[in-house]
Amino acid sequence: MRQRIYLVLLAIILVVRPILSSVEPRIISLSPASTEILFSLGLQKYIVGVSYLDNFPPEVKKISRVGDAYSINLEKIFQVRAQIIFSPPTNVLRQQENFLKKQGIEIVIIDPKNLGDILHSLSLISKTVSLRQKPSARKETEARRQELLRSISARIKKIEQQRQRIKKHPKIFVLLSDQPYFTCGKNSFLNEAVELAGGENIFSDVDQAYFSVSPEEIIKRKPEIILVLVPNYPRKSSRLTGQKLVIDNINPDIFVRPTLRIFSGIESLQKIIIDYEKE
Amino acid sequence: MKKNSRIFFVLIILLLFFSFLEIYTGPIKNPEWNIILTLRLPRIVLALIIGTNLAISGTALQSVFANPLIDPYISSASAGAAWGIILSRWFGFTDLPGAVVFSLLSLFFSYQISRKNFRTTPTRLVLAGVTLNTFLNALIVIFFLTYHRDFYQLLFFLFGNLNETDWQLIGLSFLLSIGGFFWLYRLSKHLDIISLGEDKSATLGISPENLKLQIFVVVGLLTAISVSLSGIIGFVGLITPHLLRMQMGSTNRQIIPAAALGGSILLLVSDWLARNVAAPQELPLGVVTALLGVPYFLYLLRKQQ
Amino acid sequence: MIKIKDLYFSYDGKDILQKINLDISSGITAILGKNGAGKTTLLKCLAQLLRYSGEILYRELNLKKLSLKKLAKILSYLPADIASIYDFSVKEIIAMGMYPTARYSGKLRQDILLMFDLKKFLDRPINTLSSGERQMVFLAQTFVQDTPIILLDEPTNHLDIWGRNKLFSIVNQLKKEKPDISVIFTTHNIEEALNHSDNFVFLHEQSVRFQGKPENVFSSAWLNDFRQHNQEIQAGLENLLKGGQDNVS
Repeated sequence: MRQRIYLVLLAIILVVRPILSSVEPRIISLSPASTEILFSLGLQKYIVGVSYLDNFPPEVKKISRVGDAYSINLEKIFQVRAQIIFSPPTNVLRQQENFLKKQGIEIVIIDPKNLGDILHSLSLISKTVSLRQKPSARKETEARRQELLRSISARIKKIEQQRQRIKKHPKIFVLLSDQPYFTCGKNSFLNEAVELAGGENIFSDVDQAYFSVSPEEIIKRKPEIILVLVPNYPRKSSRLTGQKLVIDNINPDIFVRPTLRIFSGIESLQKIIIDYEKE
Repeated sequence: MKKNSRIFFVLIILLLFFSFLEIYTGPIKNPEWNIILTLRLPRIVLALIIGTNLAISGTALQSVFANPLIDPYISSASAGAAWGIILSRWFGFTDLPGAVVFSLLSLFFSYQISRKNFRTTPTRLVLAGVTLNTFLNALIVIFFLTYHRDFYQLLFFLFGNLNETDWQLIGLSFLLSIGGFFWLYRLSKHLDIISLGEDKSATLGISPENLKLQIFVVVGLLTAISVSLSGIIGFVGLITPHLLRMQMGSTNRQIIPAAALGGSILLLVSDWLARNVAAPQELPLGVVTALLGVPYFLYLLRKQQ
Repeated sequence: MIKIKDLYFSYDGKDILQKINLDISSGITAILGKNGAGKTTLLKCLAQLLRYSGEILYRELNLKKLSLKKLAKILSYLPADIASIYDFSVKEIIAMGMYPTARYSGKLRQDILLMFDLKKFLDRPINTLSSGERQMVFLAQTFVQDTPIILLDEPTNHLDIWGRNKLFSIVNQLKKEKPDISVIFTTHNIEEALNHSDNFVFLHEQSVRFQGKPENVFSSAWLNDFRQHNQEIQAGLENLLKGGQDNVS
């Protein structure tokens, strides 16, 4: 008689526990980009680990840090019982990939190369997480996703309309760093962002994502606007001459990260361009 | 020394040629005077200062340690200077003093590591320098990864470039470097003699410890100046004296001025290649000098065995 | 002339020289002893290259207290295995020896050059010479320093018998020109010491076992015999060089 009770209890435990634990997805986000997307989908309560770089939104501070593109803390990942890891493409993760997969952890690489990819990553993250949610929560997430896509599409449309009004696209130099000067080329989403806003990246002809250039090359292409994306850039040290406008009051994070905030960045940039055009 | 006069002549011609090349070629065709003054001329002055500093430092180190396999880069003076700059910026000080202090410390350290029974064999010195170098470079990367995460600044140190345009800084560096040059030049005979060994040198009236101290100070200073202007650039200090010794003999009174010219030329050539080979991209200067220098370094190592 | 008083030197816990007391007069002095007996150490102490305890006086001057520059005018030293890692020319190497005196003016002492018969090598890079020829160059470098005390550590290491003879004939020539000169060399070859030196010092187990003239050890008859014997060997060798095997009897 007693044995039967134990068997039933065991059966209950074996069956119920997996069900219980799979109800709540446990997510690790190894890049600020995916973290921001998770927050905008309302999925932040499932995040159990973030990267050292994460700083937005402020709530992120409460979540424990488990690594980033250069290193991951395996012990912490197990401690938080992660199920899904969203990460940029890195060699570090690649090495551990097989091991982590064997432990049953799902690894999703997020690597947006253009604006379309950013929207795609929104859907990818949403779908990956919602698969592990309860049906009701899943519906909520899907609704959020649709809504976000709708609003962003609307914003993109508006941006494109505004762009039509801009007659002359000002030449823009994107300053990612100086000493040496670092900028972006054709294969980066930054480039696309600038062009969508209505500017023209002076290095859009270069078939690379990010690279360094000499100051003379910059001057040769006669930029009219310099978009400074270096955090805490000291204003005086701009050594370039001839440019008419230096934009250094935009938070670099919203441009440099492939997240939804980039569209705010594009809107801000567009506004500045339109004002500039008026002069 | 008729042959050496000819070599000096050739070196000067080459320097002038590459200087003109640097002035008249570049992305902007028919540049106005302003561009040449603010962008191209500083590169030449920088190449002169840094090429000279690194090459004559290499020459002096190679004599005082009687070891042809040493230069500011290998001896970890450059890495030390980089560290000094990082720490100075972290605490809000100007670059140069910190760079000098740490450059000197690194030199001193790798020298001490290589001593055993008061003798330093060439191999031990290279090993000590390489070890300390690796350690310092690792520290630099860790620093950026943990505190700074501003990956692009790291590139300045590890890659090197001649983009500096602050004429005040360049001017100060120029003056200090001239002082360093004449100090080393004055020590030419001492450097010749000490390459025969510390015992012989002492009994000829030249204190090895005193000479080493002077050389450390000057090399530390010149290396610190170079690194704060352009980041870490390797191999110039190694291969310039060697190439010249093969042609000119080994007396430092000839090699030191020749190395000044040779190092400048090497740096001008490397800079020209760095900017034009993959235009509009600018390749890292330290990478170009390494590509030019590593095969030669390996060849030298084989010759040594 | 040179007085060594109570010289002690130990290294790494090991005693190398213990209570050395020596008087070295002018002339040629050989320091003999087994390998590791401390010959080189004694020479280095004389050259003030090691920190010893005790006193070494030259004409009542305590050598420990002199500056390197002053010392370079009194003594010159040739280490046992000196080498030049860079390819200076013979002329440049010898000129280095003149640093303390002529301030490296570039004018070599022609007399020394003649004695060593190095004029034909002047412009050759030193590392292209044979080891014997190189040794001669370094010896010349030491001799041009023109000091009253000349310290040579195993000077005959790379020299063949002609080279050895040449070296000592040069030393004897110098002795004639400057009777006060004191040449001190180390060797483990007793025949060499017997042949060429006026005095010898025999080191054994950290102390001086004997110092004095060869005549004090061996009878003069024997010594004469020995020297005669050597001269015959020399003559025979000369013959070999000139004629060939027919002349050897």
